[in-house]
Amino acid sequence: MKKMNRRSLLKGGLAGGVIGALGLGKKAEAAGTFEGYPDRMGVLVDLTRCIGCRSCEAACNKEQKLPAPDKPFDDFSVFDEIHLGQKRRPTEKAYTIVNRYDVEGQDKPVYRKIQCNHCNEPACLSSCFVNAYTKTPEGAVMYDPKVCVGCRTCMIACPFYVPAYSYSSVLNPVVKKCIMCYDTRLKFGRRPACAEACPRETLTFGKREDLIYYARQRIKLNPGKYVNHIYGEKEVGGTSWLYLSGVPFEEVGFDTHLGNQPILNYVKEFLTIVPMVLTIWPALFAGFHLLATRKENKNKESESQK
Amino acid sequence: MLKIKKILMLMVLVPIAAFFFAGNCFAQEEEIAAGPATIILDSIAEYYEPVNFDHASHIEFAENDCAKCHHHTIGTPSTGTGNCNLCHKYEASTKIVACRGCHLSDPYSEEGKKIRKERGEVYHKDKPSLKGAYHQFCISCHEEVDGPYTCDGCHPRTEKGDKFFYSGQYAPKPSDNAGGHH
Repeated sequence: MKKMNRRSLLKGGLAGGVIGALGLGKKAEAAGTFEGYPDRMGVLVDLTRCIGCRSCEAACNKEQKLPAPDKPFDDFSVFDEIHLGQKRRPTEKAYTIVNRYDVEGQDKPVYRKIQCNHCNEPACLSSCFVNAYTKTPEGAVMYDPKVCVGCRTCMIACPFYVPAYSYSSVLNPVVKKCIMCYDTRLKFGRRPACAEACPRETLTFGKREDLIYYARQRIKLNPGKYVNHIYGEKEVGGTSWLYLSGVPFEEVGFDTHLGNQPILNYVKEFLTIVPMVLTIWPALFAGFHLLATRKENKNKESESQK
Repeated sequence: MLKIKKILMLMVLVPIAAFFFAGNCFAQEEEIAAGPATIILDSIAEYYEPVNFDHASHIEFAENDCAKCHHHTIGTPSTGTGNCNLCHKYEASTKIVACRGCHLSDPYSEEGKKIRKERGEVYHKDKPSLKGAYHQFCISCHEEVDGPYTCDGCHPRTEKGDKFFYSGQYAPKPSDNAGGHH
């Protein structure tokens, strides 16, 4: 048996200490550079495949038990609708919609599906002061109407203008948006209803990591078919929904000037100052004020004693 | 007594098995020669009726070039659709003729997931399902040659489909629109 002497004990202790310190260091680093849940799911939308059949809209309506639409889902006149100078957008009655774009130089129209993109670092989530939003490990950005106070800050924060508001409800208006069928499907590993309904597999469901790989393969194996960009891979810190297109993204209504920073990063520095301003400043300046007026008070006191 | 039962069982089972075996062989031989005349596509028919696919006339449309639709070939040189040939050119898997032989009718079911896992590799994972393959392939071609390319062009919608799309007898009444748009 090996005898434990003072030197080996010290050595062991030192090594243990170093490992401990390293471990701690790693943990601290990881917290600062969290790159999202590793197994989060997503959907790859291939715009070159979409034919605007609106099956996804019908499927969403059925799955989410939404009210009857204004027009049948096989009525394609909705593609010509303009509301306040804009094409259709998701509403409280439709969490996803498809729009048509006539792009110059294309003999066929291009269709684009819009719904919540389920950001890696959602701006709606960081803007919500009652924490009504959650990003689940599966990738969905969830919304809890029970805690929502109806301030609608999330609607302004969202870079994609996705959250809609149930203005029609007088007593309990809440924010309405796509939840990636979390309750009924995603939680159980099943793909969202829209993805299942899509006849042309415009919507491919899978691990976000895999989807990025498929997207790269599709670009590589079909030269000239796609624009060499995966929208959502990096935009606003990355989104769970990713897009491939055969035409430049800005021509089919995508905002290509959002940058790759999560929206949170633009306000993080400011927001960290807020608690300091609200707690330390009052005490500090009250102290300054008391100090500055101390002499005066003393004089007053001594005067009154006279 | 037991023996008689056994013999009786065999007498019943053997002809049935033989019938199925012969039927299969016959079907396969015929498929290799010219393919079936019509194929009923109904593996997931729900909102739409099954498609009665007229295979015979599509052979004419394709001018006997089977590879125009079947990526790897049945005697005719491949026109290069699909990437299967990149790896499997000299393998037995290229002998699979029917679409459903490779394209799964439900890749997201438990069984489908198992098969996909067994097949492995990224090309297999990103392969369209049976439904995806039909709609991608058929519609692209139909648009070019002016074949039917609307939904009801190939498969009429069922009543369940009408309900799903809020169409036909389930169409929203004009009075429902009173809420307006937001």
